[in-house]
Amino acid sequence: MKCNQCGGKAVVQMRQHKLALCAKDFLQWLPDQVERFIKKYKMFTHSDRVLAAVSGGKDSLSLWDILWRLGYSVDGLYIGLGIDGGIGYSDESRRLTEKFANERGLRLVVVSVPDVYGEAIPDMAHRTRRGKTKPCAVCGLTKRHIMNRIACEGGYDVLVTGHNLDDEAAALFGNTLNWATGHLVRQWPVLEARPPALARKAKPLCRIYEREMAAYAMLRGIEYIYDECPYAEGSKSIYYKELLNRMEADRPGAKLSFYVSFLQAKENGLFAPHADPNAESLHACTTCGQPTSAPGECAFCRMTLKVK
Amino acid sequence: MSVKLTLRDKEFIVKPGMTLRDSLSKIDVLPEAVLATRQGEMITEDEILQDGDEIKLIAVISGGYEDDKTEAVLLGINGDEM
Repeated sequence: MKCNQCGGKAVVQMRQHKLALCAKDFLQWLPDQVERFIKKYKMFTHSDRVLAAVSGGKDSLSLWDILWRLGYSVDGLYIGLGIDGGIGYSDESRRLTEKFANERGLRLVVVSVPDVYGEAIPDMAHRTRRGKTKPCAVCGLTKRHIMNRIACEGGYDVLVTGHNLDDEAAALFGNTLNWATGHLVRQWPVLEARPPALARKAKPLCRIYEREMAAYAMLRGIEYIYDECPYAEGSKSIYYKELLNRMEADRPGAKLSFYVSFLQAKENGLFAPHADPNAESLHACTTCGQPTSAPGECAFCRMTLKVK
Repeated sequence: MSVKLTLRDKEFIVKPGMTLRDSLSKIDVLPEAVLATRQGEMITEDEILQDGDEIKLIAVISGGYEDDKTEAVLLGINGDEM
C-alpha cells in the first residue's frame, strides 16, 4: 500500500479517513490533527501554561511529546499509585515517564500516593467500600483529586489528559446504555473551570483513534509501559471498546461517527443543562478546600481520613 | 509452510499467502485492536504474509479506569456521587 502523500511505502492505514501514510508523513499528520482539534474546541493557546497528566502509557506520553513539539508550554504530572501486580507496574511506569521527561528536558511533577497519603491504591481500595471489588473507583477518585490540586496549586491554565477517541466513544457508549444524563451533559472535549478551584480540563486526543496513538508512540520511538494495569482485566471500558471495534471492523468510521455525531447533536441542543444533577454550584471541601458536589467533606478526604 | 503471529504471550500459526487482515480474521483478532510489525517494521493490513514470516502483534487497547476514563472524569471533581 502506498502513502497517499508521497507515494512511498505506507505503514499506517486509517480506513476511517480513507488514508494511508508512510512513517514520515504520519508523524507530521498526527500532530497537525491534534493541533486542529485544540483550536477547533478552543482548548488552550500557546500563551497558556499546560499541565499534562502522564501515566507512562502510550497516549499520555505521546500527547506530551506532541504538545512539546507543537511548541506549547507543558509540564507533566505523574501520580505514583503504588500498584505492583507482580510486574512492578507503578515503578516501571514512573521510570519510563522520568526517562521521557529527562530525554526532552521537560519538567515533571511526581506525586506518590503511598508517600503522601500513607497507603497504596490497592490497600486503600481493600479498606473501603467503593473499592472492595475493584480498585479502579478508588484510583480514579484519587487521581482526579491530585490532578486538580496540582493544576490549581501550580497556577496552570489547563489540565490535559490523554483520552483518545476510543476512550471517549466507550464512555459515550456506556453512558448511553445507562442513560446517564449527567455524564452525557458533561461529556465534551473541554470542561471549563468552576468555582471553587475546579481546574479547566481538555482532551486534545479526543478525535484520534487509540490505534493511531499506539502507531505514533511506536514510530516516534517512545518507550511506554506496554503491560496493562493488573486491575484492568475484565473492565467495562475494555468490553465497550471491543464491541465498538467489532462495528469498526465492518464499518470503518463507526466509532468516529458515533462520537462526532454526539458532539454535533449536543451543539444543536440535544441536552438541556438541567439534565445534569451536578449543574448547581459546587462547594468547597471543609478539609482540603477542593470542590465537591455536596456540603462538607469531599469523598477523597472522607476516604483518606480513615487511614489516619 | 507457515507464518507465526505473536500477541503478548500467545502464538498463532497461519498459512502463508494470506493478507495480514485475513490472517487476523483467522485467529479472531480485530484489526483495530492491534498494530503489526515484521522485523521491527510496521506493516499495513493488505500485506501478504510469506512463508517464514514472524509477525509481532502489539495490542493497542487499554482501559480499566472505568471510573476514571468514562464517567466522573467528565466532571473531574471529588466524586461524592460515587
